[in-house]
Amino acid sequence: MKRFAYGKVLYIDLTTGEYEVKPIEQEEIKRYLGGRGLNGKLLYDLISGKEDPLSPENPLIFGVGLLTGTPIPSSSRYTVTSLSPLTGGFGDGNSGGFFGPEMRFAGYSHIVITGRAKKPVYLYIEDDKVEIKSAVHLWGKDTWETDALIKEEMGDSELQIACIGPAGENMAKIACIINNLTRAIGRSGMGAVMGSKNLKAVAIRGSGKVRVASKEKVFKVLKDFRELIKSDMSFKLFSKYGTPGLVDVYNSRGVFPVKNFQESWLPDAESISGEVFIKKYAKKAKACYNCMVHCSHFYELKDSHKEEGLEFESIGALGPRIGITDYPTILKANHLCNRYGLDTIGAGDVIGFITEVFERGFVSKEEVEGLDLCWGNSELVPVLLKKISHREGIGDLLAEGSYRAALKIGRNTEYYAMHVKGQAIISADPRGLRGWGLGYAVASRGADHLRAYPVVEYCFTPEKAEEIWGIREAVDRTAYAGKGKLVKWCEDVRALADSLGICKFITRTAYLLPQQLNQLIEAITGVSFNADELMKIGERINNTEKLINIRRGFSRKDDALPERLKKEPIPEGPSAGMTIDITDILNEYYQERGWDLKTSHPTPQKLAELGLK
Amino acid sequence: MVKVQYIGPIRKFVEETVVDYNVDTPISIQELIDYLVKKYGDKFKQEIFTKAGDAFFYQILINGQNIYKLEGYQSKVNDGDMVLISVPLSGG
Repeated sequence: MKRFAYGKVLYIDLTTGEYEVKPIEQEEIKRYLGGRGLNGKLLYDLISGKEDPLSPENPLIFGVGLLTGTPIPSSSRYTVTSLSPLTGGFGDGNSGGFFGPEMRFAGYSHIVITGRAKKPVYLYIEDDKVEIKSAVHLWGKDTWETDALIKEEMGDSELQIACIGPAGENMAKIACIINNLTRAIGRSGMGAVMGSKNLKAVAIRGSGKVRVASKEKVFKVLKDFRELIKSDMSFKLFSKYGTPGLVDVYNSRGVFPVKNFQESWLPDAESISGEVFIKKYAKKAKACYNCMVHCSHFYELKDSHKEEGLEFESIGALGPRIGITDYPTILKANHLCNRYGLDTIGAGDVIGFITEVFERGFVSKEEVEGLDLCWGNSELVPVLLKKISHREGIGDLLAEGSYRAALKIGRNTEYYAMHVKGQAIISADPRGLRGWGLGYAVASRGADHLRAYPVVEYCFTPEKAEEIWGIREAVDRTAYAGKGKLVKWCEDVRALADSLGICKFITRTAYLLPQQLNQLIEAITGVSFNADELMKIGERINNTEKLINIRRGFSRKDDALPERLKKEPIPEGPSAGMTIDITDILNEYYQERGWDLKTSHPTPQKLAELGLK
Repeated sequence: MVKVQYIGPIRKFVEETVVDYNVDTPISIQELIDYLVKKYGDKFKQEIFTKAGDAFFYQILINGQNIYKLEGYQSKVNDGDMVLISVPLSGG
């Protein structure tokens, strides 16, 4: 890595106002690459495991991928990692846009923030200049107002800003961090951790260059990339429809949750299809930094707002899961979540949860402040989002997320909280998607599809499955066989993509395999890895996150899907009759991982093999 | 009568997402595709047989069942069945 410089680590203590800059060890880059991988390693080294996630001692770590901000296409991603107030264990979120590359240009691979400021502050970073500035005047402002005010007072409209809204300030456990107005570090409640530190925003400006090891190899990669992308599935679908194109894809298989997973199929989903979004609301395609997929859009809802978006998960969570099937309501709710700084998945999930437990009589009308909680109540959605973000009334309970709200309510309502480790499940019903179900259950940050992102379950042929995992059924979504092997393999590959800072819509299928990823790494850094070495890095990253969860007391019991998904079959549609029981495939997964079947902990041999302790 | 639902870029060939076709049943998937290619032309054929890596870009399902699990392109479609020609499941 002679010509290549990944960046320095900036350590800031908000309690004392002191900061220092340290280099990152080259050896650690070879063990963890960067981004999510190194974030996890830094967190592991900095905590004992006893810290309260909302205490000053819990570090909040911003990290760019090893290739973020480089000429490699779709290299926009950065990760924010911390102990999660939502899950109580390892937590992180990952976002695109332009913040990550700017952090890279400023010369930082990571920013590690500890402590708690006495009064609200924001960080202003311009290359080597680091300032902790007052944010007293920004406290209470939403993310859009905050973004505009910081740019105005710094006289720089090109500043890249990651900030929190009222939800983060009030430490709603489903609060996110927003950059570029609509891009979210959405999951695990990272916005609440930022709020607990009295940190309103990180504003960054960089003027540095990213040097590459071999221009010739970079040009070759770019040429190959263009050819490959033309026939790639992600490009064909997402470049036109964005992720809203997935509404029909999921609904047509009957795995699109409706009314808090009571159903999983809409007989007619036309009104919220990708087709309608493109025709009625989208104005123009929109891309993140250096990306040719341009899966996002600028859209407009007349007489309401204009913004960048929309994502499938937001449609699912703020739509059918709460009984809503019209775009105007979904778009307004999405916009409010962006401005309040709320995770759309967590918000839709908790609204669906409280609606169901109220409907079933577990909570009284008085306990929900007399609100008209019912499915599809368009007028109530903005009211609830505001209450959650400000922890007003019933919002104080809902700000905890569905699992923690259920624990507070008691009365066996946890059965209706659709979560894993406290994190809400996405809008893809695992009863009809066995590999995804296992992926949710074992994800280090809880109920998450992007840890394993096992799209190969549908994209690979049975022949390809046999070649890699030795089981043809691994690519049958309705079968159990081979899912443990498939999910382990996918998790390790995805950890590489997250640590490189390359978007999953490129690494999803086009640049999926480790040997393909190495072409990108080698062109930029000059260092080459073989496929086995890269898979080992992916495995090390997943095991490091596992070790953090073990410190926090997690064990096999936490790698579980909600009981409801085992007991209640999908009632109607193409996946009617399906349930999911992961007991056997969880064993297969642990065996593949070299983890103890009883405790789920990595065996001493596995830790030694990965150089961990 | 056979219903075909189109999801993904292939949607550009048809007016509606779900289209009814008056074809004699039972009909095999291969025969149905031949019929559709004749109706919509070579570009439809190129679209439906686009490959992504080792696999075809589009998946074909009969009443929710992937034809991989049935008899592949020889799988039979009966009167009233729903055929789905769709991009694969993905994850948003």
